[in-house]
Amino acid sequence: MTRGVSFLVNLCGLLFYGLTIGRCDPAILAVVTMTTCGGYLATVLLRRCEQRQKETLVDCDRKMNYLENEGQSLQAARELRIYDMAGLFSGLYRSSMERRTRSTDRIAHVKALVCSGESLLAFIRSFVTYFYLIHLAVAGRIAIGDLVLMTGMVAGLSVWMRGLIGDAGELKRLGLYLDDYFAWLDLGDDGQTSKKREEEINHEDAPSLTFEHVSFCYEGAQEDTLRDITLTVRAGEKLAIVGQNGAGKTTLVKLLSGLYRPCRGRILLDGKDITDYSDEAYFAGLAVVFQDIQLLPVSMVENVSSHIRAKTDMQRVMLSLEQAGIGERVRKLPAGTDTCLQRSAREDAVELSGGEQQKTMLAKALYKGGSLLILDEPTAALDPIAENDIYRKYSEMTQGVTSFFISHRLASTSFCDRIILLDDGRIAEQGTHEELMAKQGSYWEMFNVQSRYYTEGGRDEI
Amino acid sequence: MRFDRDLFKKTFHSFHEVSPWLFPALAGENFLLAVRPFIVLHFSAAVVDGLYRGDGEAQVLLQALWLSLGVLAAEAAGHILGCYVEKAGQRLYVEQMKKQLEKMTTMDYQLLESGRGQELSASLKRGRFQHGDPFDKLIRYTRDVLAGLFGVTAALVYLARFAAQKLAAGSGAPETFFMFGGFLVLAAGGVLLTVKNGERHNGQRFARFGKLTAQNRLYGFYRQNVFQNYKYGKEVRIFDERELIVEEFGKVQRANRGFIKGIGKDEGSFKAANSVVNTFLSGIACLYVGVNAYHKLISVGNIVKYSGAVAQFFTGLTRVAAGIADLRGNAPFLRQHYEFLDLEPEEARGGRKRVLPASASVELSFEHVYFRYPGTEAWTLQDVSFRVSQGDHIAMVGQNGSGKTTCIRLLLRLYRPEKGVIRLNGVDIQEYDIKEYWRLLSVVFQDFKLFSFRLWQNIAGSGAKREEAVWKALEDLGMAQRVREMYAGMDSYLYREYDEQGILLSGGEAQKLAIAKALYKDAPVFVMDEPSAALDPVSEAQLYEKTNTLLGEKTMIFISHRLSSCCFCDRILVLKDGVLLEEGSHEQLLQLGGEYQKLWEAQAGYYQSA
Repeated sequence: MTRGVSFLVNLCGLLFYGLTIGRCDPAILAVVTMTTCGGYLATVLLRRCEQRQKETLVDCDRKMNYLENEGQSLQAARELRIYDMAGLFSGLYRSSMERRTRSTDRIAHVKALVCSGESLLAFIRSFVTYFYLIHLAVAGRIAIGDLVLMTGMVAGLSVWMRGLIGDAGELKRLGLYLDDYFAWLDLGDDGQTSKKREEEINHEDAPSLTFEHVSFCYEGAQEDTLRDITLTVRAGEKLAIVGQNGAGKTTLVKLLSGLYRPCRGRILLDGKDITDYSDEAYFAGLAVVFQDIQLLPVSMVENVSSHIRAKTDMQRVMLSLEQAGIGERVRKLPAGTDTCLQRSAREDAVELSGGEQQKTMLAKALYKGGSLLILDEPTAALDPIAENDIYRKYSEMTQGVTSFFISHRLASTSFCDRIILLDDGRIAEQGTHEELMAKQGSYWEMFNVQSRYYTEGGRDEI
Repeated sequence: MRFDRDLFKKTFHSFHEVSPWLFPALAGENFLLAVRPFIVLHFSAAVVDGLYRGDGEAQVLLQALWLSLGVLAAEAAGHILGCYVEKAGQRLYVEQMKKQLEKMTTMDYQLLESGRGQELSASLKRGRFQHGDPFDKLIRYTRDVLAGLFGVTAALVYLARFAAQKLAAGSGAPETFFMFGGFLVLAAGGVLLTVKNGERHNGQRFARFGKLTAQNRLYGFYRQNVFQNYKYGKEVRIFDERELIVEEFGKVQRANRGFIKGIGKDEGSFKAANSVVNTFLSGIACLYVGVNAYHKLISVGNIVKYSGAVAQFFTGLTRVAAGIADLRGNAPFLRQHYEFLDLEPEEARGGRKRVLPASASVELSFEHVYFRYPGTEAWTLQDVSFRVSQGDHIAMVGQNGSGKTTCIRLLLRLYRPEKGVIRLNGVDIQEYDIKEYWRLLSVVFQDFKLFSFRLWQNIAGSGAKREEAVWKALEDLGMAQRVREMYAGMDSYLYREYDEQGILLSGGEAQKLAIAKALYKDAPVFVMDEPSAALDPVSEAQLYEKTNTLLGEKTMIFISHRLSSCCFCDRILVLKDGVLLEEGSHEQLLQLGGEYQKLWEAQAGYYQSA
């Protein structure tokens, strides 16, 4: 906006001064134009140099920023101190800093050079103008007062001209920014948005799900993380997914949640491809507990309901907290359910233990409800009693819901209808606990490893 | 108008540290810039006067040449000095940022976590975002003051000559003194007004920043952990949290908008008031020169010269005044920076730098330890006492929130007990030099953190890269194969923040690396807080079996909810609500039939019936 105005002001100034000078002597006008354009070319050089350095600067700033943010984080602070990593931090900071300094030095050098070049051009312009005007004045062709006026105008004209050219460049640059901005706003879902049916999904009843030859590959990765998964899940079925670290369980969760799209194959919800639904419609029926814990610096109530206070059903919040086994703890908090979370963001917040945070995440999923429940290691940080509690309540929680329970705790499989064992991105085994145990395959092996120490005979072996 | 000598000393020291020539170069650059208009004034007046006198063309041209050359020389020299200042300025900025980072990574943990520590670091960050870097500003405002001062001085010299000429011409000495004196009084008044105005303005400005500190932390949290954190993206979408976040962040934004509006309003009225003063004074001065010219008291060339000089005088004066006001406004931001760098815990911890005994034997004891987190009333730990002898493998179990992690944090000296002591070989752990003390500990945190650096850097920390030891640690955790397959082996970057090629790890893989890091450190005491939470059953069993043999001789304390792992321990401590309830071996505690048995049954049931 302001640039546009400035452009117009410069244009008017230029026309006025240019006409005045041009009427007096077009030769001076020519000299001014030439030297100003020369000066402009020099600044183009500078701009280009800056552009070349920009990538380095952005990269350095990003890295330095990362280090600063981590340095401020309390979680990192503990690690940093025990492992004496402060030296590593300042070393990495120094290397980015030095690279950044080399870059800024280069810019400063080019800038000094370009500016000196401009001064040289200004010298030529000034001397030529004076030379010409003094000649005219001595010859009596112009008044001495006019000479003062003209020298002032020449300087003024070159200022207007530079301003105008500068504004034009700036307007163009801003245009590019705006292009980026609008491109970002328009970021569609790979052009599929238009195809999406806006129809509502029936979230009342538990849906059935079908995976048809689903494969998934992370961007830039050489190998598929999930390979050719074909699977039918009945409406209301309780599925357990197990497998070793890195087998693809969490990736499967992301596909199920509609956050990733399969690279090949389709996922059908009640027989319809889930990519046909709009994200909002699909998400509306989902309740997910992700592996990583993310809480907002707002009250417990709002963290659980995910909505503003006015749209929160307080009874339901209490019920969900109770179900997740954290009801009593919350009641004992200084401000009860109104207690805020995230001590790193606010002074009045309370610090919950790892297990308590995980229970809060579970309460959040239970509050939302929905017809498809996905739990990704929801008991990893829970104590045995709390874990057992969840298992016991699982049937109640999954009433009329199709559910997925991902866990390394194989006890969790006993209350699921079917177990899927993933290995290296494929379904290696599936069936009930009894079937898989009878098969004596990977599941059997895993179960034995885990149960060894819990059974009397196993403990004696140690 | 208070002058903060201490702050001045500190900033001067920072300048000097980067380059002893930074200030002289800055002064030189501005001297040249200030002189430049007077070269123009002087020689253009000479040209005009020459023409009036009817000097020869060559003579007048020579003056014009001097003019152009003088300007060129002043400008070129100014650019060279400016280049130096710019380079040094950038260095000053990064150097101070580095100091902040170093302070953040080395200062007392509890101090960093304290309200003041968090507030200051958030406010520094916010200040840089909204106000700009205070050191960059410092250079800029110093430049304003210097340029203004030189301009004013040059103009005064010029005008004094004018006064002297008039006196020499014998045109009423008293009158000239009166005029010149009046001129100075006007000028002084102008400066005073501008500075006062700036004072008030800056006071308001920093007060506005001050009111924002609580908002700063929230604002920073939303920016970093919600908006820029792709991990948060899934929560927002699946749980449709847009409205909540818009509402909550809206509150922060409203506070901000009030702040920015206020700042803008202050700024506007400040600048407007300054322009009024400045324009009024130049107007009077020009009127005076004009009256003199009308009465043919000065030549036409002199009109050019003196009206220009008067204009320069007032421009310079406003620049000085505004520059001083800006410098004073910038001072709180600088003060904040130094305050952060100078933060020290009230009681200097690790002040008594007792050196650790050379003997490899380690004996730890908690003696009636009480602790509660700052700002809470209920005890998190109450009268906890236990002893860990050299080579003991101890498990700590208990329900969520029973105080296990807090015990570990006290042991690590991240917090101090409120009552009671923790001893190492009979001496209060607070008495040891903290860095040496930490060298005794290999820790796997529950919320461990891997950085987006190279894999080996995560494992080896600040130390040198001992490749074989890194491979060995990876081998022990079964991660060696996975690492060998990475694009650059142990030189590969983790995650994407630092390098776009970085490797994304699954939860279990990350946990294995966190353990590998502890193994690599190979300290006499191992502390592991739920090291197997994200591991699959096979990896988990391997971990406990392996650590048992790997750490045979070492002391180990670990927390686990997987009670099967307790079978490997010599002793189990059972905590409940911050109290140490039971202590003994697995068999003893099962027989006791208390809390431990309850926990065990809850977990073992499924495996036994199967």
